[in-house]
Amino acid sequence: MTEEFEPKIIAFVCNWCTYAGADLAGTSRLKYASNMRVIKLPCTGRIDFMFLIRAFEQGADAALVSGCHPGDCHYNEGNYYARRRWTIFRKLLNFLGIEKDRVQFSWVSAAEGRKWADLVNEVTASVRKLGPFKGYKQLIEKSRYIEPVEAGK
Amino acid sequence: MIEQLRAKAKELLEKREVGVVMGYGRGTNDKTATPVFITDANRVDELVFDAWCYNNLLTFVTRDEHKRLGKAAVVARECDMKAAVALVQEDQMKADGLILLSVSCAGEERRFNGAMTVAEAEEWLKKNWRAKELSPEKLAEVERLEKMTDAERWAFWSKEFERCIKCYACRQACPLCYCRQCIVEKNQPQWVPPSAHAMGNVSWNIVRAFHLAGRCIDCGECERACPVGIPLLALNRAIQKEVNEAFNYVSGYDHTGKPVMASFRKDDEEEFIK
Repeated sequence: MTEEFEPKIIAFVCNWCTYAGADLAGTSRLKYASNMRVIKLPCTGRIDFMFLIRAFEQGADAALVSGCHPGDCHYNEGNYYARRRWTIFRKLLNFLGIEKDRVQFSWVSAAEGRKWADLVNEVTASVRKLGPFKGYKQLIEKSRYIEPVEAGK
Repeated sequence: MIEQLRAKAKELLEKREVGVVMGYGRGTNDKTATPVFITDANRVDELVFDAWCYNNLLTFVTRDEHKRLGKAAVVARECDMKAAVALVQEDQMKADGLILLSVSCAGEERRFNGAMTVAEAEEWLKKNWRAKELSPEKLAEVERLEKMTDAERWAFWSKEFERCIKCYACRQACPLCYCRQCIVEKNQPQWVPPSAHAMGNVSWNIVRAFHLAGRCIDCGECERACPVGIPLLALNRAIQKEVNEAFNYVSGYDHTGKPVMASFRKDDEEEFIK
């Protein structure tokens, strides 16, 4: 018997727009995929690319980064800086051979509960199609502590 | 050529325009060169410049122990001068805090282009060097890798990174890796696994490459310093290419402008954002 693959996806979202949008999806009782683990940060500008790498190191199959639409940033321009960073970072990951859909980006405002629910479904479906993040899982496996062989054996 | 260089160094030291001349000196045998830091005008004869002089000496100008020696005149190959421009741009030194003794790049006929300020060096680079950036020859390896599938590329880089021994020579040799405390030396939290195992190596190489995004001046010191021969330059150039395509920017040609990743335009592309 084989169980269907359920991807683990980590969402890094900003406090002011996407987190509120996700909250709205919940209070509106919208049903959507349960594969997303949400981590709230002050702003997309606060999301260091190491957060994503750390997520992969701990076994995530994909990551989503979401924040305020351009012009709506609570700190005026945090998402503009973030946008530049992600433009290059996703290209770097792809150059290293990581599929583009492993890291996805979106703007979801506090009023877009529906968009959040649809987005989560869409991202989950695309990662389900990719399958488990074998590349990183192999790295994790290779990096495990190996018991030393006992003397005399 | 070397006489011109020594004469200029002597003049700068005697007039007390600089406190130290950083240049190449003879190493332990006649096929090695080592950085020398000359503070005494009578010692300028120690300066050499030949086929064995290939370090990027601008790596040293941001180090505290060398800053204490006073204003520096640095022997810099043409391509390395971009590092000085980038360091001034990132506020690591004042525009008048450095004199460059410009010499030719490796593999070319050895010549001394004279002493330059950072602003003069920038003009010189724009005229003589800018057109050489991102040339097809430089991007050949990047394009070869781009043609592969994702899985092939992952296999290629995993194999390369597997050899990494985490000696951080790439960081030490880089003129733009000037942080007093690097992220890999922080352990609360520990962002980069310290062991040289498969995962730690990938993390480190992603961090190194991305912290240089839009800043790398393509001097190639990291790849040269790497004891296990990881093609780091291909990684840097892939980013350089993307930065140029997305933001029309090449690092090392604008000492008064804002660094590309520390600025933005409201109409930056965002087709990848849902």
